[in-house]
Amino acid sequence: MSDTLNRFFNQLGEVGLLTRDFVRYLFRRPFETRLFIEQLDSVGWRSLNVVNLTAIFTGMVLALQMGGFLSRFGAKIYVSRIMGISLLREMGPVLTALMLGARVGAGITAELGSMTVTEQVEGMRALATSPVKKLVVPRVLATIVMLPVLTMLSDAVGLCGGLLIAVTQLGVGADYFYSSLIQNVAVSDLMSGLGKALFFGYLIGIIACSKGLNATGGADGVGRATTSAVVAASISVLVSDFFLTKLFMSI
Amino acid sequence: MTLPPFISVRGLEKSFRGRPILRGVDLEVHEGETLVVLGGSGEGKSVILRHLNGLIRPDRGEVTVAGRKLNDLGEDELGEIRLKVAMVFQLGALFDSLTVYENISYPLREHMTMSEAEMRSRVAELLAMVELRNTEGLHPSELSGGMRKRVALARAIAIEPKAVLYDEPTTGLDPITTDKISRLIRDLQQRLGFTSVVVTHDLKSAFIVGDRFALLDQGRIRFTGTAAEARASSDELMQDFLKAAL
Repeated sequence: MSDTLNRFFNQLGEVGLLTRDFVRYLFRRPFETRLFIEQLDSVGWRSLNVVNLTAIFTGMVLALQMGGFLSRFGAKIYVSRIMGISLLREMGPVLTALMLGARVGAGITAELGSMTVTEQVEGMRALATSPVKKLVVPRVLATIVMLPVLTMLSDAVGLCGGLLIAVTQLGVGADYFYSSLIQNVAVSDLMSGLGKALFFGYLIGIIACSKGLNATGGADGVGRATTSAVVAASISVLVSDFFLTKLFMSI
Repeated sequence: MTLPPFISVRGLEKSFRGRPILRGVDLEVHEGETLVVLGGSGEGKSVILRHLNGLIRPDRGEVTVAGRKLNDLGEDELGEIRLKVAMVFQLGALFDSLTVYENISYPLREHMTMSEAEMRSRVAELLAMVELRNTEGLHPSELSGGMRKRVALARAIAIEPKAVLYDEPTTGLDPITTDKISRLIRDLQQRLGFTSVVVTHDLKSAFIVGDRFALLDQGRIRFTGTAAEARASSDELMQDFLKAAL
């Protein structure tokens, strides 16, 4: 038990120190624009398929489940407003973060981990350049920027999936689905989801980088770091979601 | 008046996970000389080397390079030291996503103001120095062990450091390539005049590259001297090392 606690606080310390260095190098010139754009492409553009696929099926399942339940009370016409709120506030940001944590987080840890165990990160320091500036800042910034963007897209695609089921399976008109959604979903619902996404983006990026830079051993160590990064990022997203929800509800 | 040593280590101690590796190392490296640190595997030779450019911080003791004490320097100030003291890693530490050209031009791009044409000609010149012409477009995965070491060496000397640290420069190479790399290190050092510290357990290579030798044993320097002094030494371990190399 004390070993587990020790490990947990060690990892928390590593993430804390890396966050400090991230902030320190974030505003230091020259900006690594080319590396940042490469990461935007890797984190954002290349995650589109997996995020869209997850979103459309989540939206469809949500509409089917809710439609079936609401039909019992003759209230299936409310499906779009319930879907809108649950997707925008919760499922959009959380599911996108979990998918990104698995796809991008694992990729970042594996890449930085193999660079660490083959001395490339140390080589960067020996050449008087900062691995935080070159590797961490572009990746963490890209996950912070791209997660809200992907969440917005995932919200829209999820709602489209819901609309498809509402029209074809539940017999709810498309115009009614749309007007009910617009009337009942507030900008604050969207913003609270995007606020969460911003924080999840930071968590995924910083945890993945920290695990990669602290990888030890050979291929085995990189494998362990990658698994541990995905688990830590997923748990952090789910736990912080609870506290962020409390926070946004109190505002 | 004698010049102060370019690198000076006093009472260096370092432990990892409670296990002491260095127990009070004292070393001096003078400008323009090549010091070879000898010792068995796992003795902490590479740990000493990593203290000389601040990649590792000492638990106790002092490391002074070019008149500056490294103990209290921050990462930015250590960067200034690392521009003067380059390092060649055991496995090369080449960036595997970059080509040979991009690897060697990396420090030039980061620390010097050069046009792309100037950079091309400087990289070609460096590749010629390490006898590896026309390999600019290759990736590290396409290079043999010896070629990787040469590229790593070219990258290390790209910005004309005052000293170069070599971590086991011949490990993993066949005897002929070991000999060629050792002679290349010696030749470059004599041509460019920089100070060198080489850690190795390969005595044959050590005698090709080194001016002076230090033997590390159980966390302390047990012997320092020239090749002739090493051969004449009555130190048992030094003699065992010499016999094993024959």
